[in-house]
Amino acid sequence: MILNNNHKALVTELTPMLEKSSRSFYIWIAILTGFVTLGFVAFVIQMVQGQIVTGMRDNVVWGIYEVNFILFVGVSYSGAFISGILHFIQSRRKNSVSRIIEIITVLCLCIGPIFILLCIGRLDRLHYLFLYPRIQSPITWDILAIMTDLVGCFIYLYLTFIPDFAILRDSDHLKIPAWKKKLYKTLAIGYHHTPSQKKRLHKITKTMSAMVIALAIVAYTVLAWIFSLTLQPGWNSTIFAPYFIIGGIYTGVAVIILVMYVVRRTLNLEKYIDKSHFTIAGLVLLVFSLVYGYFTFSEYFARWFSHKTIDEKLLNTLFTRYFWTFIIANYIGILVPIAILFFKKLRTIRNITIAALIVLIGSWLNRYLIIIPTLETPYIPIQDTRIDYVFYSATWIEWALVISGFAAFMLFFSLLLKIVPIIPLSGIIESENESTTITNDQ
Amino acid sequence: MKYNFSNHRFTTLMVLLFFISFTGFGQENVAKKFKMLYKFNTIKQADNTRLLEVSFIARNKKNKKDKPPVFDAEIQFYNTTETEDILLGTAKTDDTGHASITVPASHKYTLDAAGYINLSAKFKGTDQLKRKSKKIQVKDIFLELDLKEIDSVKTVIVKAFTIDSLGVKIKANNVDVIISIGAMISKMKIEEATLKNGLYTFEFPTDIPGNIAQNIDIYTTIEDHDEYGNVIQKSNEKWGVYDSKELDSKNTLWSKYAPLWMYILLGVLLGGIWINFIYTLFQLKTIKKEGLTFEAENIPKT
Repeated sequence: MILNNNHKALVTELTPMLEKSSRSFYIWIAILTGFVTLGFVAFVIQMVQGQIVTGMRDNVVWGIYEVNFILFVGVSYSGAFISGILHFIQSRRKNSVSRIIEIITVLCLCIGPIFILLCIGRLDRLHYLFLYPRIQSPITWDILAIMTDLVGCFIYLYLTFIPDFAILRDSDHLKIPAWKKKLYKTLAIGYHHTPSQKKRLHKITKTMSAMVIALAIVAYTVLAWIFSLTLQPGWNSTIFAPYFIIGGIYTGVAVIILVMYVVRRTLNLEKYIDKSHFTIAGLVLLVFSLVYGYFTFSEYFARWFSHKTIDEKLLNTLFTRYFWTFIIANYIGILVPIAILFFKKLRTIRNITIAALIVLIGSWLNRYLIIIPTLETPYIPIQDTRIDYVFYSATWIEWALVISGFAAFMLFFSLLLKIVPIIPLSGIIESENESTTITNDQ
Repeated sequence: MKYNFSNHRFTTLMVLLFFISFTGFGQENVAKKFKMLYKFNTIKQADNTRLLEVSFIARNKKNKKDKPPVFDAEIQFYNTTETEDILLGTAKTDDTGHASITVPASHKYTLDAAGYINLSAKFKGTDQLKRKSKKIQVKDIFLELDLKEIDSVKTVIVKAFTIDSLGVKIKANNVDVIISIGAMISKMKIEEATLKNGLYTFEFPTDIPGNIAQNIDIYTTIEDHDEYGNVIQKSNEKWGVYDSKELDSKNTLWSKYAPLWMYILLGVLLGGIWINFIYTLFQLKTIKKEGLTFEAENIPKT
């Protein structure tokens, strides 16, 4: 593709991170690397000493690792879902956020499954899952779904990157190292925006975008079934799959808003990520907070009304031992964002970001409440045993790994910004070309 | 929150009745809201010991479903005679409001002139709770349960007799007995009869399931009899049947192989998706090939 001066200026404007890095960037990377290293140390300790260094015991076999797993995977599926839908929307606004969503999707899908591996006591037997799979088990479905989804998302992400790699390859004016130029040339696979190539790429990207939507729904449904197909109190629910999907999208939209806010502030992209993006995302968050609130109410109301002894015990735990967690997760985490986003006057960029942050915290706690209190409420009462076998409490090893998961997400996101532009160049250039064509026609 | 209230209500009642009451607060107002249900019962058990049991429950006068148990109340059990009360034992009510003692089989009760054992259970009362007392009058009866195979017929023989003051056995007449077997949760009745001349026999059914060793618990009971009260006798015999055939579970999810539809569905779904992935990769290869052709035609080699 031959770039004119306007295009070159646009490329320069949107790729400051590719050329040089500030000192604050290196400090930021060092801090994140520190957290990831801490997590790695915790991981090594857990591998050497076993699960005993965690708070997980006979009853509570899933702790905050599983909470992070569901959160990350949910955000990923939500990203895939929204990204797939955006591909079908013909709007210039989507160009500013589509890349952010795509990166969030793939990174979360890479980091999330690591947490499920941390729950497994005997990683040396992990390959048995593949050697002796039991097709009847939702765990097997989940492994197949996650692996397929991961491959699908990678392919989809790559397809959306190809035109940008081609533009970066052809941007001779950029002062980037030789290895990066070589990398762009390799990854661009000879794409030159010819009509045939465009048509072909558009066709497979469209198919893949439809597929990632379906994959996201199927994979997250299967993940919900791991819980709901058991008879455990709080899990055995027919609405768990749609509840998970709605909850995942709800959290995903919140994460997208938070990342949009950070990217906009740090890379000075106010021109490309403007208030309208936040307002639209805020309205989507409002709709999903209402739907999610409705699902949450239905879920707990049905349990309360059923008067099943085991459900009563679980609800009693939620309203005593986990009282404040429950209040923050299901009242503050839902009602406060609704209150902020409902009123037009309150829909400022900062307020919408605060609402998204509350949603993220509430969602994490909600997943905690889904997993831990249920495992602490077994059908056969726990008697004559140590308190740490009855009640779960996360250790520093678990917290270190959980925090390092978030740090790894931010680290890889930051490093990816050094390779690819956060605003899709091809999308902006194509939009400009189209508007120029329309003006010329007129 | 409902549960907290329930717990608090129970605790409050207990504390008010037995602890704070001594400090002179007006907790009688709380006690007045409840009607005290005080029941006394005795069961002569299979080993000829006698269980004496009291149930002490408070019932809310306005809400009859609200029935907290009276906890930690000391109950004294007596064998009462015309002249004195002989203490048999004491027990405190547990968190279900029950207090019980077991009087050994060897104990010699003092009988009244008509040959009855007079038993009483007394609660002395507190500042807020009135004293309570209940009496029971029973005659001692001996219930026997013999399980014999007579001419290959499994026969249950129930005998009952009393012993008079001279030590002579007197066969019990017109006493209703129930014969039941021990099931998983409660007893299952298999026969109901009236003793004639202190005896009842019947043929035990041959199709009753036992445990894995074919053992079966067989009970005979006299329930709420005017004279004898509650009496129970128990015996164990290998008269049960055990079907060792393993039943095939209809739920194929537990079987060795998954149902066929699952293989087909997963195969179609995964196959479709992965075929599309491969198709996408082929398309990318074509794009690359087109790019090479484009480069060869339009970009001069440097």
